[in-house]
Amino acid sequence: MAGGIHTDIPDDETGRLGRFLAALRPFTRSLSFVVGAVLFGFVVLVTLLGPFLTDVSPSALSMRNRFQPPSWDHWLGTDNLGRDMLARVIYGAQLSLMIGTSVVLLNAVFGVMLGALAGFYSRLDNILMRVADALMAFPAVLLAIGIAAALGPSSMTAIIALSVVYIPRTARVVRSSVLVVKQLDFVLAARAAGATDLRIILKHILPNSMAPMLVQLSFVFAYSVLSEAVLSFLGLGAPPTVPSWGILISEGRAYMREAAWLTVVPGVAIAVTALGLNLLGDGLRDVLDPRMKVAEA
Amino acid sequence: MIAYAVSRLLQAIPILFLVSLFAFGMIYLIPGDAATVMGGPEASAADLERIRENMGLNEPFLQQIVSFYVNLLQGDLGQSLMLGTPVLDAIIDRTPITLGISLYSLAVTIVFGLLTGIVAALNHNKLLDQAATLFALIGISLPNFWLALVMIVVFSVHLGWLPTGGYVPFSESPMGWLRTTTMPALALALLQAGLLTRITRSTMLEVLSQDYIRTARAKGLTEWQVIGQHALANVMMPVVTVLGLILSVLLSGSIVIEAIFGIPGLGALMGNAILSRDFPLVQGGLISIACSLLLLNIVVDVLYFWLDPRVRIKGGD
Amino acid sequence: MNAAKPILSVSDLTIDFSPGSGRLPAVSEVTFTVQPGEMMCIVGESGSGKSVTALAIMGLLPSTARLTGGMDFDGRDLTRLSRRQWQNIRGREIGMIFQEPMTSLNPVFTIGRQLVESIRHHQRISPRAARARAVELLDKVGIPSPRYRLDDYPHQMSGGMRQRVMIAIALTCSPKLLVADEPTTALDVTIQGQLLDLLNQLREDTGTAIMLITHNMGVVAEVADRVTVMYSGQMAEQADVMQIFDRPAHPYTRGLMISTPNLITTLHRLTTIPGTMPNPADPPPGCLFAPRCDMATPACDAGRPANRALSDTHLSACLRAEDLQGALTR
Repeated sequence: MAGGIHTDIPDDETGRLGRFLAALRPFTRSLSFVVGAVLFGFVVLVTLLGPFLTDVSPSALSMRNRFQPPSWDHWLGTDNLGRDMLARVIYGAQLSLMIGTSVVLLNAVFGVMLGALAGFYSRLDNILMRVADALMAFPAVLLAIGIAAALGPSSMTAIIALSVVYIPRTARVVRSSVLVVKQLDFVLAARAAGATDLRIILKHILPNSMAPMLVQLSFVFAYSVLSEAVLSFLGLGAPPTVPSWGILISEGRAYMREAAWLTVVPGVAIAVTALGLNLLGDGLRDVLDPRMKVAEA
Repeated sequence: MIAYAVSRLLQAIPILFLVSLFAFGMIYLIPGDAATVMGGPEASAADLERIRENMGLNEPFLQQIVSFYVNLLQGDLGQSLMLGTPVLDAIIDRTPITLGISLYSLAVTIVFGLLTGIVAALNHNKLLDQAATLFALIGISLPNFWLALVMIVVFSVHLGWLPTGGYVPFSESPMGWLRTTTMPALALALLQAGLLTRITRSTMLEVLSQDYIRTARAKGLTEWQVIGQHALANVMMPVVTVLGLILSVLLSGSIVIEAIFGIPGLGALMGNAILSRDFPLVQGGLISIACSLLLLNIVVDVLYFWLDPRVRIKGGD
Repeated sequence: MNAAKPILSVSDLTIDFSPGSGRLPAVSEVTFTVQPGEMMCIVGESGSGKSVTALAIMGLLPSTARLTGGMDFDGRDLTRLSRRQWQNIRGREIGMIFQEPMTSLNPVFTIGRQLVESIRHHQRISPRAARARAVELLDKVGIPSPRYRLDDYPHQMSGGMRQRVMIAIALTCSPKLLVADEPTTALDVTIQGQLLDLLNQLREDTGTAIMLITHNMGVVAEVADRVTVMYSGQMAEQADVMQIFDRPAHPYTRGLMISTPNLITTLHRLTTIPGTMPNPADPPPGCLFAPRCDMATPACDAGRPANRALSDTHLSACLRAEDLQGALTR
């Protein structure tokens, strides 16, 4: 690209809002990011506003209305007990998103902390990485199921199990990034100026390791949604009274011949959510990755 | 190279130790009385006491760890509560079945994933690339157990092409084996192929932009030689590293997929063990699986070491 | 122009890239020739279009490039070649070496394999004979113990050695023309001299013409027979090397020479050419160099000056070439 540096900030918007909007602009160039944001945003919106839009309760039984295929009255049909699928899917979304957000938050705190410590202090690195490797030696879902089985089924269990599974992976990503950044000159300069370790980590290293971290967190959210579905499908996640997506699929399984939509719909919901998050992750990576390929000229 | 393999094996020992420690420690995660959880709601007091004896839960903690490791090193993984047979036997029995399906699934994954990734990279930003990328994205976003169910609805219920489940050993009937393992293998392969496609594509794109590809063209080599030899040789290495991840995902997926298709493999064994709280079996299974994966990862690392001359031979610059 | 028939003749070559780099093409109506067996240097700063020209001659431009004009190599029209025909010419009749020896060789193949591959691709020859020839070539480019180097990997060699290997690869079939795109820029200064001597020596031994691209007037002074100066995608001046240095006929050329630091005479500040290259999105209406030129007149802004022949061998794109030469004559 030729030409000088352009600044797009209009004169009357040089305030914080203006700068925020200008910072968002490069993200709009990534198709992945935009589509992902739209999809995931849609899911979030439906989850938050859903209960206000439909006044049908997800547990309202109606033996007369069993097995209704999707129709105007029931957009996603009804299940074997006459319960409205749309309402159940929306409540399932609430659960999945709640669990996903919790896992991501735990990752953001502990994963980043452990990764930063491992990257920064090489003595700690050894121990921490051994533990991480040991945890990662177990296949993800297997470990999650194992932990969930030990702790007993509940949403909390799912959150803990998934966090234990994904925090080592997040920590690894953060660690790699920190290892690279800590070699850079400005860190040396900060140290020479007498900054304490904590200050260096918080003010210099972490902000520059943001990119891979954000990308990783998007993918962790996606994996959480998918893994939580497996957990509840096996009966190890939220108790059956809460209509999580996995449970919906499990319940629908018995009626696959007559009422296929009972199985299909929750699966599509999971897929759309995961797809949106994966696209977001890809988009973030596209925008934030400094290793841009130079076009040949 | 032998030296490298040996060093990796030695490095793995502390990890193996931690792995077994985690497996051992699982019992202590259980809130409440472990024996009650394991025995189930219908266990009598005598049953519970028997469980406690078997698992050594009455003994002091230190003694429990010691006996655990003594047994482990002798290859004794305990008795399964559910089956009443040694854990190790149960695992060994089921492994070949899962192995067969896994290999089938891996073959599909590798062929499909590699091809798609390469084709996508060669047609960067054109229709083929976008289709392949979309396909890969969908692959990693679909829950594989749901896909399995959908496949059953479509191919078994409606089209009647394949059975809804069950397993026919290869020795009994190759055709039967194929019919009962195809859907599980494909359901497993989707996620894996998605991962492989993505990494192959991005690696290939990076390799294609390298200077040495330009040099190869400047030598007058045909495109087949440039892509098929020069580019591919450099793509294989990062792809090989993903293999470890794919194997792990494969085993994870087997648990649910085998349960859905009623295949008596290792995954189903683990699934049942977990659901019936058969902790000796769960512990033994976790240790076996984790160790196998660690070993496989070492094999993968050694393979990478062998493939990449920059790692293998120290340069003198 | 010379009476002898040139091995390469480029006329009015214009190259631009379709997602447009503004309205200024990468290369615009460039004309030059390379005589058989001579060392022709193309000089210019980054952005002058010299690398693009080199890639065009090898047919290695990306698909987004559009090319008009004439490129004639040994009687063949390079602008109309099929892929097959290009593959025949590349590596066999025209060789190319690039700027970055560190990344120009495939890291997972031995250099022996990369050499033999080139040899056997263009000639029907047994593997053993190809290996022998490879050893010969490595020896010719001055690599010690060539027989043992065949099984080395690129990362085991220094930059200078790798560049020699690149030269060996380029020369496998004794091409008529070797295109060298800044071959010494990424190397240590001490190695640069050795490599240039090597190139010169090879040229004399094999009769290969060399089109050497560089931004360094020192390199030009050392090895060039003829020189083409490029500025912002256009040809500024073309002449024999002695003519360029004694009587430069373009203010840009003069600027380049003055700004080259000289151990003996530069005691004051470094002289630079004021200003920067034109913005492709907004080029000057006339001569592209006019905004930075201390000899510019209104006529210079009127339209692009044509290439004028000041003598048989000397072309200039400056309206005031004679004035400049007159001012410089001692």
